[in-house]
Amino acid sequence: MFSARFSLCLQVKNALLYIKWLPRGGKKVSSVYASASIIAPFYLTSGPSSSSFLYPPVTVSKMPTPNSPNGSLDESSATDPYMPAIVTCLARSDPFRRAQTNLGQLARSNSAPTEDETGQIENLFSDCNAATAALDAQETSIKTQIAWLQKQLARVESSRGRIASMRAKATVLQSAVRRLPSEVLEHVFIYYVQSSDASARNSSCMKLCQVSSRWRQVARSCLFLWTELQIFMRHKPENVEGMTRWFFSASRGLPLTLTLERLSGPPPTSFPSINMFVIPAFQPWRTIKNLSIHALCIMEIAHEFRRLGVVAEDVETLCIRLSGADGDEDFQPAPMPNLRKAVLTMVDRGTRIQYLPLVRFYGDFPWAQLTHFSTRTAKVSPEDMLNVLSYCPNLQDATFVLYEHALWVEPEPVDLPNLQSFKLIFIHGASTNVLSYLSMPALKAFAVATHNNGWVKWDSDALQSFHLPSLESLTFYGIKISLNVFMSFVHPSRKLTRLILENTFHSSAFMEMLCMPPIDQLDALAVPLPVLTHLTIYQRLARIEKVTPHWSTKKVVRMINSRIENYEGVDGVAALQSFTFIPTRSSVSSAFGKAAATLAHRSREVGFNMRVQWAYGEEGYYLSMDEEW
Amino acid sequence: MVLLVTSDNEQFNADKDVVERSVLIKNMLEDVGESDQPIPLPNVSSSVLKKVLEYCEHHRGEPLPSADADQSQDETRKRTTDISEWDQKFITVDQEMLFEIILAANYLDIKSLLDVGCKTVANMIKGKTPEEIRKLFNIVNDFTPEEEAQIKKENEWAEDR
Repeated sequence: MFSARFSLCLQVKNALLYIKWLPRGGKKVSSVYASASIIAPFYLTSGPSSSSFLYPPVTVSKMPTPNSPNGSLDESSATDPYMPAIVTCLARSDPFRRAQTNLGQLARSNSAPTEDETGQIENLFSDCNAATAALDAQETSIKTQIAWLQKQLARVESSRGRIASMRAKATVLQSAVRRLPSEVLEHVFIYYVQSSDASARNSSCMKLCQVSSRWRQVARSCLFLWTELQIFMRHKPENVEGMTRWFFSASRGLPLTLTLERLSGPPPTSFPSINMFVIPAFQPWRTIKNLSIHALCIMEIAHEFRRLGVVAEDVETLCIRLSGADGDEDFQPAPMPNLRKAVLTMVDRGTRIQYLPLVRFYGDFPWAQLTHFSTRTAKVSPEDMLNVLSYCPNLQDATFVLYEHALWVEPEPVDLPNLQSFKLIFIHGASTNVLSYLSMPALKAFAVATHNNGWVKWDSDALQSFHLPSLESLTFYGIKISLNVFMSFVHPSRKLTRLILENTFHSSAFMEMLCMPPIDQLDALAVPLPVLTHLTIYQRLARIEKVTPHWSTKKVVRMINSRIENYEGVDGVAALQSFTFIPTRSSVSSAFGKAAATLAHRSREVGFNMRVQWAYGEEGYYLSMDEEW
Repeated sequence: MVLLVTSDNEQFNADKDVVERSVLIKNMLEDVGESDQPIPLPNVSSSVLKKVLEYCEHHRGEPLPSADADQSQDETRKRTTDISEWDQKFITVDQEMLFEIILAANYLDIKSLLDVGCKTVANMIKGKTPEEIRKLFNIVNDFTPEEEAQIKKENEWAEDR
């Protein structure tokens, strides 16, 4: 008679499960409330179409809320849907609550029950047992429902997660990275490879092919990545061959730059021939235009070159990087009929190639073919430089690093009729008098640099006899020279358009000298640097010097204003187009910043470009020899 | 002043010497001549154009890179991923905006801005494994098992030490 089972609603959304425990008669009884707004079906994981959300059948139409009267176990309530009827009835008829019942009176006395009362007690036991059984069944049922609801809650949370993931994926589909055109992606790849560690170029290129099919396709079609191959002489032959085949295939027949690199550490005891690595992979044969070899010493490079005979045939640029300058074996390379550019560098910058003329090292080297020669980090003596230059009448571009070495024997003058660009780095007191033995009538760009002003001995006479009639660009880095000597040197150069000076003069007198007179008083032959269009001044404080330079704001401004006039129609004179000034903060007055801003504003109006930036700290702008110039 | 209309129909007025940092707009203005007609930019949204104009305004007056300069730069291969301080600050945006700026720079043909964007992306890739790059840019690994095997082999060549 007290069997009361109920079921929950069929479709519920936003179900709120509320569990409350109330102590009752020393036994905990669970009360479960499910607040359910029956609005719409749940969406299951497969999407909106899947709307069936199974829920245990329920007979109650309205769930009690925790605060409603029905939210507590109120025995007086006849409508509590969660309470078995037997319990409700039993609670209502509680014989102990009312004093007028037999059992109520008996409970308030110490008398033994009569036979009739014993019967009532037996019945009460029976009812209590039945009610307990009903509550047990109810509790089991509610627990089952709690478990079910918890499971559904987990499914809802899981569905929410999946939908969020779907949304994220849909957002990614619209992402701009997918819309990057291949040529832009290629641009990124080139920057990436160029800025990567040079010794890891191969792996940087290969990495781009391992991201996705599209990246692989774009990277493979970017020829820049595959026309430069590094072969490390200690790698496993099968790896070198695999890599070489890949690069050769991807570079699609274009001429290659090949670098044969020796890894640091002791050399392998039996290093196989380079040809053994490279030649089998050269199918079909490939042109190596730029060849760079790193060897331990002159002897080794000579040996490697004999091995490389066939590779050398097409080489146009040869870069030799030596770890040492040992050995006196004559260098007899394979013929290199196309060689035009040669670069000699030393791994250790301190290494000198001294007392043995370069020409002896490279006995049969095709010097006369060369149009470019550079000893970028290898130091040579002025004597060796003159020797090399005398073998290279066709040179167009030359760079030398010179160290102190007296010219014991009066050298023969060297004529370089085709030389257009000449860069010299003076170190350790090298003397500039070597310049007086050079004739360079076609020289357009001349750059000299030193790390330390004190090192270079400028021979004013040598400089003044050093005529450069075709000079268009002059760069002086850290050269200690008097302003008068400098001006007398540049004055005859009537074609000079670009001048870059770093820490050359410590006075604003230079600015005064550069000032142009008013147009009506202008004599193009009398003014210094009449066609100067680009002027750059770096202020660097060489550590050895304690002089604090000072640039007068007024003089700088006056010089610029005098040179940005409209010289149209005035023969042999050109207006300054750009001025780059990099002083230290202490070398200019506080008014300089404002004046520079005013000038920069005016410069826009006349199409003049002015850039001013502070040098790095009070140490000044320190130009490294590594900087390309 | 030049009137620009973005893909979301917003109008921007900008100085001629600012917008002419875009070779596309410069050529359009040269072709059309003096005109009050707005220039439609259907591939650029207002939020992106705002950034692009900020860049052009800052670099107003600087010489435009010439084709010759590009060529010599390519030849000497001295391109680095160094970015000036202002540009660095300017390009510090979320990834989506970064790529939108790159796309806009490419469309508008503003080489210096395109370079800044590409350098930034190149710097983001630096030092990362392919898996990390995929994660960074939400790129799907769509290689077949055969391709994966090939990649593994390529990796051995490249990583030989």
